Amino acid sequence: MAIVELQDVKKIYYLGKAEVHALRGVTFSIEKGDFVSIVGPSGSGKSTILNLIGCIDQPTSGMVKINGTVTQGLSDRELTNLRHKTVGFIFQSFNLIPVLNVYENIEFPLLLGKDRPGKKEMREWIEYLIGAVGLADHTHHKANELSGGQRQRVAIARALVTKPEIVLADEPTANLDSKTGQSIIELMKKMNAELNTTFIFSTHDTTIMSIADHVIRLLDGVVVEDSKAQAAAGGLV
Amino acid sequence: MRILLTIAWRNVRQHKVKTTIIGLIMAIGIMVLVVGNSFMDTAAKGIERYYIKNYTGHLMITGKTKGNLTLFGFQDVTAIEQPVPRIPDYAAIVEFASSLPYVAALNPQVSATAVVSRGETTLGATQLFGIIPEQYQAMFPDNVEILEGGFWEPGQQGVLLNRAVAELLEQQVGFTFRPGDKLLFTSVSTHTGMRIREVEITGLFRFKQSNVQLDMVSLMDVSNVRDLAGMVVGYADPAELSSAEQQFLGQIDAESIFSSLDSLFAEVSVEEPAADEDFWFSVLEGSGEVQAAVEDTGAWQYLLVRLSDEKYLKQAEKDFARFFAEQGIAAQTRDWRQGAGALADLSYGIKSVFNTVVLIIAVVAVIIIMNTLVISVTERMSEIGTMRAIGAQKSFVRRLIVIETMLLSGLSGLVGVGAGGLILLVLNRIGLKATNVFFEIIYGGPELRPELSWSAVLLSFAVIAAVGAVSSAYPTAIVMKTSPLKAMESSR
Repeated sequence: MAIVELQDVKKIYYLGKAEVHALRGVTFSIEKGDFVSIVGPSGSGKSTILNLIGCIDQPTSGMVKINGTVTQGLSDRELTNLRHKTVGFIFQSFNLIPVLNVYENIEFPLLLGKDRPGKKEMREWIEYLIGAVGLADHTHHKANELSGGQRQRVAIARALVTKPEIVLADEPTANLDSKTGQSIIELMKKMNAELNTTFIFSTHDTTIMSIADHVIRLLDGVVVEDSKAQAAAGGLV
Repeated sequence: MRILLTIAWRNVRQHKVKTTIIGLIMAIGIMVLVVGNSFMDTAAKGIERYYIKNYTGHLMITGKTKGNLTLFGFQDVTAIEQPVPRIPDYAAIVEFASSLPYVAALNPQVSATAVVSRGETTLGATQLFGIIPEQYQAMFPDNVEILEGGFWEPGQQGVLLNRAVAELLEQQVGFTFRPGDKLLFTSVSTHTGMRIREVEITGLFRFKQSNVQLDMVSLMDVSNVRDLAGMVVGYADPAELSSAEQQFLGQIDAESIFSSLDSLFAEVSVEEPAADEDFWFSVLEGSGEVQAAVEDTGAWQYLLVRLSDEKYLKQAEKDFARFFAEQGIAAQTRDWRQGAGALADLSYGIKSVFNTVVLIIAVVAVIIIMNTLVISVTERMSEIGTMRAIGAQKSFVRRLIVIETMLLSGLSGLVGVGAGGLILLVLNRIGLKATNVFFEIIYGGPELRPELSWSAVLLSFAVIAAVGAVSSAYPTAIVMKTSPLKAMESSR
């Protein structure tokens, strides 16, 4: 079942009078539970695709369908609700809320929704995630008391706390050393396997790319390789 | 809500520079507001208490007229247009007022301004209150301290000279006034011409609580003040009547007319002037003729009403208004502040000026705070974008900014109120002496011991809320436009 569908998606940015064609008719779909890597050089459109899937931007034309919902025409409130229920974000610079500690940062998305679990259930779930990302000893540390790798672990737990269908990670290892980056990708893979959450991440790192079970390669706003589509068509991956 | 408060509180603590700048501006502003307004409120209450207790009562009944009519006469151009009106149907009004259970005392009064001279020498001017001593003292038992001599005897005439006026006059004449000395009082107006009365000083007094305006007031028998105020009913010149007029008057019993008129004023004690002391003149407009006039006995310009409690003020105003309307009496009530005149107005005017200055300061504060908040919000675009990306609605981030501003404003306000309260406590202990007339007017007397005014505190918090709301409006608008894309962009 496709959790993400993009059909002939085009995205044009306007810089003054100049038009920048970020996506020039992108079509692909992602299945639930996939561990997807979107790769390509800078300016190829990776971030634009993540923005569209994350419902924080709208295509100029074409269709984006997330978990069965077409995003075009939704109001800001509806898009926010869709994001909250369906998508988790892992940012390149971690983007933790500086005044909150590890526990509170992970808890934060849960407090934004109306359908919150019970207090006990919520605490147990957060503690499970903290344990799963290996930060049980840092529960009450603030972001500035953590290393880059630890911060990204918090971000992974935060992205997973609402049990979203999709987790988007925008170059999650770019600000980490290779060893830490590797461990973060392994953690994401572990959570992907345990929770059957779809992970979609953009990266330049070929090592990380190899762990993905679905690779979408972009060049100049066009998909030049879609490993799953090609496999389905009997082509080479 | 808990998470909003948590984030807001921690942001306030974490952003020390912003907190310090905004906090200091707010705290100092509120401190000035609390001290200033408490100061003004104490002065205003002092003026109110002291005027009601000593000079005006709670209400002043006068004839119906436009213009700024005070106990000292008109204090605007109306003075040129018309004299202070008499109270119509005075007896009926007194009867009605006496029937009201919350009326504690009544005092009729007449006012005039006169130039004082002795022989050929003009010495100065004084304001005269024409009163009946017994009623005046019953109305204001604590305000007159007799320094020498006393009030004139019932049925007699005289002036109780204010010590402050006497000192001014003595500087001109070069000797000390004593009871028994006589002074000439001259009043001039476009309505009544020039009037001169020679009146004996029966005593010297001072108002126990006085000020620059009241230091000019002397107390005189009502008969003389009526004459000086031009309250006459006609002229003593024999009139030539036509045959028709004589025929008409011949049908009326003059005795019955005057006896019935007298009964109207039965409860008012009026001293008739002694004939041999009357040598006043009336210079009528343009004529230059010297004519003798007859005092309008029983006529009053003011009826001062003291209530058993201030809480009855509104009710009294309503009751009198209804009575005047029902009876068709052209009279009206004025409150103590109107009665007190320019001095009380000046004090309130100074408060208005102060509040205007505070308003200007508040506008400047809003601009500084708004700029600081805008910088703060701009610095936090990534954080706010992240919140939006992970599911926070616009309303959430708007509330966050408003709560942060309000928290900061509220805390600063508390510090400001605390500091202001402390300053007021110290000022209250030491007391502020009025070193000149200007401060005496502001203080409402020779000394002021300011007290914390709860209305000033409430006003301060209203100002805090307004400043907080206005200051956060623009930063909030910026935040509302912040796209979750900002989180992605700033992260890269």
